[in-house]
Amino acid sequence: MEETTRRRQPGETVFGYLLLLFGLFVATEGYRIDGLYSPSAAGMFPALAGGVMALSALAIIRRTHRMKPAHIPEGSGTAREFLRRTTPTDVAVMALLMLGYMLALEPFGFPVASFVFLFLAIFYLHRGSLLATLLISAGTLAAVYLVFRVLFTVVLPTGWLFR
Amino acid sequence: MITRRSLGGLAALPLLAGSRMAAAQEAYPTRDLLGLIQWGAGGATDVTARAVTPHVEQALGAKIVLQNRPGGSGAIAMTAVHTAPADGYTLLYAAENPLLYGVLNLSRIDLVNEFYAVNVLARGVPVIVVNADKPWRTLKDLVADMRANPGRIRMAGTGPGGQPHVVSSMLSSLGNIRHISIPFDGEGPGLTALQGGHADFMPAGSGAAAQHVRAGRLRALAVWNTEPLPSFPGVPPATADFPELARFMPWGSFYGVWVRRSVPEDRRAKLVAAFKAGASNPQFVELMQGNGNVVMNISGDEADNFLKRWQSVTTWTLQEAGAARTSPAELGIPRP
Amino acid sequence: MSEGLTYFLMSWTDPKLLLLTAAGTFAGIYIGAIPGLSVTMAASILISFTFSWDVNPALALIAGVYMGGVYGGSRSAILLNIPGAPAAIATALDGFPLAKRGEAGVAIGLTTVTSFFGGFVGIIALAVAAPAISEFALLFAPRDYLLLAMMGLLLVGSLSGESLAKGLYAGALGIALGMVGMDPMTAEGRFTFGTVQLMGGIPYVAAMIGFFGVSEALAQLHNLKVAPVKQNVSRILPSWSLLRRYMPLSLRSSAIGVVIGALPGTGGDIAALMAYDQAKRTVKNPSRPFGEGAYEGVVAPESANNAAVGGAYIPMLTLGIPGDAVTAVIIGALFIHGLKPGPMLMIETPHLFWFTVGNLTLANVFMLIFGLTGVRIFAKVVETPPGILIPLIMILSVVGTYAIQNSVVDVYWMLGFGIFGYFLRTYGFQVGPVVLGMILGPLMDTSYRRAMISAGDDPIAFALEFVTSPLSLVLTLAVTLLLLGQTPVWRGLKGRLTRQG
Repeated sequence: MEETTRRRQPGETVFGYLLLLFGLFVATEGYRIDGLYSPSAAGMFPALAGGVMALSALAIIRRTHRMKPAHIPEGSGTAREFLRRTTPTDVAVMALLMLGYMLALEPFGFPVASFVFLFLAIFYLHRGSLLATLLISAGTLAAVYLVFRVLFTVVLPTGWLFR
Repeated sequence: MITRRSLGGLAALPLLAGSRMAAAQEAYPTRDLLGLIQWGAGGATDVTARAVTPHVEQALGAKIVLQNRPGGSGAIAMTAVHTAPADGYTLLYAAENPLLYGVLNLSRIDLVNEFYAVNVLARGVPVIVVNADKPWRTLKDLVADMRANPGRIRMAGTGPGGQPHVVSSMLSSLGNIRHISIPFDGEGPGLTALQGGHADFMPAGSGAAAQHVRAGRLRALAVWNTEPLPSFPGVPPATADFPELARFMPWGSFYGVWVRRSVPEDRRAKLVAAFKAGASNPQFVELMQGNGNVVMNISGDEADNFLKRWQSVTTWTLQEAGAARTSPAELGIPRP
Repeated sequence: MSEGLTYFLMSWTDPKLLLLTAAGTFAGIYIGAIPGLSVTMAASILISFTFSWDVNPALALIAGVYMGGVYGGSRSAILLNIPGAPAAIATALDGFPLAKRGEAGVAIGLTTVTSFFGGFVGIIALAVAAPAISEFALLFAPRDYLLLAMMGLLLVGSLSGESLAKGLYAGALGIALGMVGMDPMTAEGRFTFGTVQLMGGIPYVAAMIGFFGVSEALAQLHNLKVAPVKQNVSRILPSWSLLRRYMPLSLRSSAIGVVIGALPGTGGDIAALMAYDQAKRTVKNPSRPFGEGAYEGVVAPESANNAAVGGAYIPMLTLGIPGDAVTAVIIGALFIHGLKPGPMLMIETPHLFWFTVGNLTLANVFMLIFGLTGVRIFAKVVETPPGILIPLIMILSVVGTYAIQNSVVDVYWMLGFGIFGYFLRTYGFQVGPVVLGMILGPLMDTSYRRAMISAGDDPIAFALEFVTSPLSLVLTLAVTLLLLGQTPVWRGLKGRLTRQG
């Protein structure tokens, strides 16, 4: 079961400490809900969950330290390796595209924002012809719109910029 | 902050105002309305909303798309309607909870001041029910037992500000009453726990409790009213045992529809007319009465008076029970 | 009895009801398969839609949607790793690995047949033992729900990925996320930082879509150049010998499904997770290790969640108490149609019971038929070039999350979870425990506190209740044994015992 031979990934140590910090934050915030005034206090489970998170983060950090360090080629640093391997361009671009899409959702409305997102994403990832990309995006969007807006009367954002 | 766009809008206002108002008068509604339901699917608010809306749609001549947006004791849905444009296209289907948001620190938006009551459709009457295996036969028995065994008898509740909480606070005003209150996820789960013997009594809505009482699985001790209820034959009003409770009554949860107060007057009038017609539909009236509710079908000032009285009675009861987080006096709610 | 049979056959012989049940089941499969569209939502829309109809056609339609919807969630779980509904979370754990191996067709065939079987077990339980089961369900006190939730949470131990610490962290994180929002018991905000938007909590469907769907889609970006796995669709219907082999497991899982479904506080999602856990513990030699595409890993949850449908109808029809969110909506529908759901329902309108049983059976048959047609086309979804499929998954995730409660904030959460989940995966975590914690955390929290409050906030009285009530005692023993079974102490003891023997 235990995969001890895995090498440490770039950024894994930092991630472990971030998890620890987050666990401690949850634990203190959980305690602060009501100061655990009684055995049935609202903060009981939040504080407990935070405690478990912090403790297991410690165990995770210890294991990470024991792992063989990440293989870093000559002339590269951990930070650069993190960017190359853990967040390659494709992942970063898609995450940013999605973020942009969400931000555009309310001002531009669902149809416009989704179409632009689909078009850009498929064009970037698939690298097909312009026309095919256009057709696929439009077709998908029409199908999604039909199912959600028309059949299930989900009120999708219409956008306030073009009102 | 005055931006260039709003300045431009101001400049254009005198030109457009006349024609726009005229247009609004003749053409509302021109598209689907959105109705946000404060509570989840299958609850009493949801059922009431879905039962009245088809009749209203007929009278209004437009579709109302209903959506459940539960959460935060209903504060989420109210905030959403409050932030939507005041064009009369977004309705709030709510129960009594928003009137208590102030004292419970759930929201600073006040339903009475910021919203206009299109229709208060119906109100329920609480009924005090107990597990059928319990020895109590009357409300007096229960109160006596609670006094004899302080902090032992378990009430099934629904959380702060819920109907059981308020009714038990009113009951506690009789003095020397202390009990355990176990909050369940709602009236239904509370009644279920009551039948399983995991709680001893519960002040529940007449609609939710009626069938269980009729089947003999639960026993009704009293209806929270000054008169008996037709749907609970043979069950005395609470005032029969304790006449001093009459000052709280009539009291119970209610269901209604609101829009923002700043919605243009003519649009409000159209909505009021449509809901009045919808709530008068015999099918809806029969459904509400069958559930033991009292149909109200009131709007505007009449509804406001009802709401203000309800808010005053309830918030001050909570204040006296020590359950209010912000005093009603601070919020400018007069004493009953 | 003959009267019962007449009512049972009503929807089979009336062409209109037959058609409506078929349409409902068909629609349900797609509602279930599309993340963000839930059966609860569809059922409440149908109430407005069927308002002016008779009650029977309305119920036929809703029963179809329900049956189909619970099954449909497995589609997207297998094909895209996005559980279409919470009940399909456990199915994704082995279903998606199967699709990655080119066995999407087999996985869909197997889930369809076992869902049908599970659904059938649920219906039989409803028809034969409804009154007894609903009385049993009433016995569950808050502390028993706590024990059940703990039992479910033990699954973290077997889903932890590289190390138990990572599983624990993920599970606890899920519990913490599940606590966000207004505490239903005190109306206080927890982790809300004074904002109204957080008062409603984070919907776990948003977390489910983010952690499963989006994080997987992001991870897939690493293999854009790799050609998609060719799907083997030569054989969809599982062989008879395979089915016979999984029959006992399916039956056990269905039994779990019926009971969990009948309990008013729990539904198909928890049933499926517990059945998966049970399968992992009891199956000695799975076809492949669990998590890597074990057939057992889709058989168990899919039997259980469809069995939970019949289970959820049990307290609804006998006592007027909903077994889950969908049956709560159905109760509302009954009210609107002028019926009086409650303990008297079966006495005053006895036809309704047999009509529902017949209807569910019919819906179950349609589910089998529709489920097995078009599988070849569906399996091809996995063969879509990733450059097209990944943007599609993303847009579906966004609109699906938005549809839960029309909130853009939920969409941000979903993306945040997607990116966080991507890092968790990269560093050897499993995302399953997070969602598990989010589902079971609130149940544990409220049940624990209810139990503590009803014991008068006295820890000793609270602890005593776990051994004084027979039901609690059995559950306490079960949890203890399961827990011991996971620790080295037990293995050592067992080793010594067998050596002595």
